[in-house]
Amino acid sequence: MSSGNNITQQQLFFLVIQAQIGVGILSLAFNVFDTARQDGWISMLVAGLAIQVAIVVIWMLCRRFPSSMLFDILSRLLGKWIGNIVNSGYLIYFTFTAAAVLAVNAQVIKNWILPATPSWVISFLMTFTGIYVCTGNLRVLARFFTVVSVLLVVLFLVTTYGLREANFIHLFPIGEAGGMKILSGAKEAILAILGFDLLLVIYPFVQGKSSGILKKVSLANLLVTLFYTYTIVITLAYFSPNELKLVPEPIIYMLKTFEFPVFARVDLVFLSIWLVSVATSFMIYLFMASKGIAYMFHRSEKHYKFVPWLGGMVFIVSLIPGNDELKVSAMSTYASNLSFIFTMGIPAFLLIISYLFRKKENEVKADDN
Amino acid sequence: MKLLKKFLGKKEDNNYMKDYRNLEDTKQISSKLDDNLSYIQQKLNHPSDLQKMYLKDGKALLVYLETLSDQDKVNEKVILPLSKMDNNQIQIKNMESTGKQHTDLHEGIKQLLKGHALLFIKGTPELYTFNATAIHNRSVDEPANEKVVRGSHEGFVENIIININLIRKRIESTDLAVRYYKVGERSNTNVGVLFMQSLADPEVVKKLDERLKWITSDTIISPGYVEEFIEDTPSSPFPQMLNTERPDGVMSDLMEGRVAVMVEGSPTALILPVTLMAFYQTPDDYNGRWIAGSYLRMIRLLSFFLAVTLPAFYTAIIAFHFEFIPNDLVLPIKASIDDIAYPPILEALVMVITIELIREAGVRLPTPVGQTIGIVGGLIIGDAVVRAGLISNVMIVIIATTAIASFVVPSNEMSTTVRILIYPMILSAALLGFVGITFASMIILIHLCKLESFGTPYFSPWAPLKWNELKDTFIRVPVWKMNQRPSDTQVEELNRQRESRGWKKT
Repeated sequence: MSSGNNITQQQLFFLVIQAQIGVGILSLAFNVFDTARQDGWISMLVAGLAIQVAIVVIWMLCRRFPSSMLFDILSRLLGKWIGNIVNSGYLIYFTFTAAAVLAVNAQVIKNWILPATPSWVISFLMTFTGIYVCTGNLRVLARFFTVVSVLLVVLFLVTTYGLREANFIHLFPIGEAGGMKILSGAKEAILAILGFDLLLVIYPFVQGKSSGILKKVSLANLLVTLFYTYTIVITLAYFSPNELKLVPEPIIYMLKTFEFPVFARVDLVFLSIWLVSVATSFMIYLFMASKGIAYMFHRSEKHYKFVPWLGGMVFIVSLIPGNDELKVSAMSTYASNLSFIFTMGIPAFLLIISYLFRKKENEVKADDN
Repeated sequence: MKLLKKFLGKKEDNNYMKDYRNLEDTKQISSKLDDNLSYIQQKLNHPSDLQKMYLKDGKALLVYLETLSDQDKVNEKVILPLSKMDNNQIQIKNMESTGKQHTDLHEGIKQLLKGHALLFIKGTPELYTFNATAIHNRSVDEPANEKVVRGSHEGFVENIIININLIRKRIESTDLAVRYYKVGERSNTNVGVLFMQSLADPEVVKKLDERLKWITSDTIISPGYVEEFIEDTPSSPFPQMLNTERPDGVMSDLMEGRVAVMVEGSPTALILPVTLMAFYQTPDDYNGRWIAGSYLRMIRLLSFFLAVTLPAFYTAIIAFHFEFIPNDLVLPIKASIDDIAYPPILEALVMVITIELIREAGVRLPTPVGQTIGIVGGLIIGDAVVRAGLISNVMIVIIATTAIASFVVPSNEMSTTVRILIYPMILSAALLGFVGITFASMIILIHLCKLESFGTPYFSPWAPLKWNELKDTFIRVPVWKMNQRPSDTQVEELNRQRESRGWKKT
């Protein structure tokens, strides 16, 4: 317990869940429907499978370097110079993703809850919250993520209410879209459940056997995939195909029609809770970026010193697209395209290198089995 | 900076305790009685309550402070035995209650300040001290702010000896460690530290020891002083130590591996390290049966959420999300707020502050007047303010419920914290509606996750989450199910019982 930064595997589980569930959930059903039609839920399952493969790749890579962060692995495998360049790439990726999360979030809040509030206010508050949590250590993040995971149960229950008016005939015929359409729908779906890349950075801080780590991360991925599939199925069944083309954030449109005896607008509750999930995704990217920059300045132990500067930068970047919805969505597309490279491409490449050149950490720690 | 300090005339502060530290060195006792007496008088600044008596034809001198010593004890222990002796040979050793022999006059003066009587014998360079301290104590009544329905009605008093006696009577064990510290360089206050040697985390005990030794203040008036000197995060609104006046509470905390700090002259014990949950537990939960205990626990936790969020929630709905109200309620609420001139944030703030005024006035006044204040403030103002059209009916309902909920908290400190947290919540709700509430709650939650008290995570067992310890939070499972102590204190021995209901199986 004395070594400041370590987290348990249970905490890792919640970290991954909270990192994966984020901005994407709102428009997920719309996006997959756009390409895969009523088979969007199959796309989601396929996407979950693809992510699982990526998780295994990252895990195999990290297992060979059980006590080093991503940034450390990079400079070990690629040498100091190229390593530093790729490191900077990761830094930009983390920062840019965080900024994209901020921008999309501000846009949604503006559209749905606070139309008259300038969107930078929301981004500013989010940045402030992120800075506040990231100046703590990883354990604070893990504790916070674990506590707010209770809220996911509420999200689940609220969504379930949609079953009352679901019409499952909308899901048939199953498989009509065809394999290619389903696959390209899966690409859209992958974007919504990114976030597992945190394993690259926090692997060395997790206690226990590496097989346990894989189990916990896979379980988290499975749960998130199922939860997303569930929301997709409900929205697909709730809206007719013609309606679904018109509603870019179907889940909120659906919730908006419900009325409970105690409160009339379920969508407000949903969005307030969703805001927390977005915040957690934002926080984890900010945290990883601060770890990375601290590593590059050889101050790995004092990442908190960089957090305020980094937060300020992310905030400014998030303001670039302004109020233009198209630019915001372009920004999030860039971020997602980057993420394919940085969460799947590069780790796979690194893994191959490390096998080819038989580079691995000396088994001093010997926590592998 | 240095210049500024010079300008302000900040002197080297090593000299400030010159005049009272001088008891540190030793002073030979003179064989002349009058020399000793005048030295004592000069040292104590010629006190009027110093009693001196020449006995045995001027061969012995008895000195004591009449305000500290018990006249009867002095008579019985010193004067009577002496009067039975022959004038020419005074044998202290023959006396029934032998005095302690000292050769250092300064040591004698220290004893004098504790209420002991000093006896000098002519021609010898030594003195004898006799314990004649007068004890005035109130009885061990139930503390007024921590009443219970069932269970022990004892409470601590202002005497640390009696307080530790109350604990020792409850824990008859060799394991109970009691350490005294002298804190306060001018007042020399006795501070007692109690813990179970085999349960308490040595790390915590060590930290506490270190922090207590750091205190250089010259006076310790109350445990509040000690608390401020040793707590981890002074800037947090949450209290990081539990204040209690109940011996049974202290006992159960000791048995969970926590440490108690007591200060002479105050009936309050400080418990550390604690978690947030400790402020919501009362002895009553455990005195009754577990179903009733769980029910009360849930009510209390509900009160926490109500007190912090209810006014903010209402403000947000009225100011931003009127559509949140179901159709049937829209008309009554609209009718109530329609004629109000002020925005909901002002309404809420005015009412919250009014309730604080009533509360504070009630606390400071004698009980009968306090009740009057309650009636005048609560009933009359509440009624008139609605009739005058200043505040809406619904707002009164909301704020009154909040006020009651905030007083449900068993701990006075935590109750104040909850009432302070209302303000940022209302403000953020009035600025950004539900979004504001979400952000404010997130920041409070993050703060709770960050907070640690002597190395114990404050928000345990929720964060870090420990499933099997949630059984003493929302609900209180039967005592025979709680086979393990809470682990947040890093307790040395986790198990506290085996199978106490094993008879059921045989």
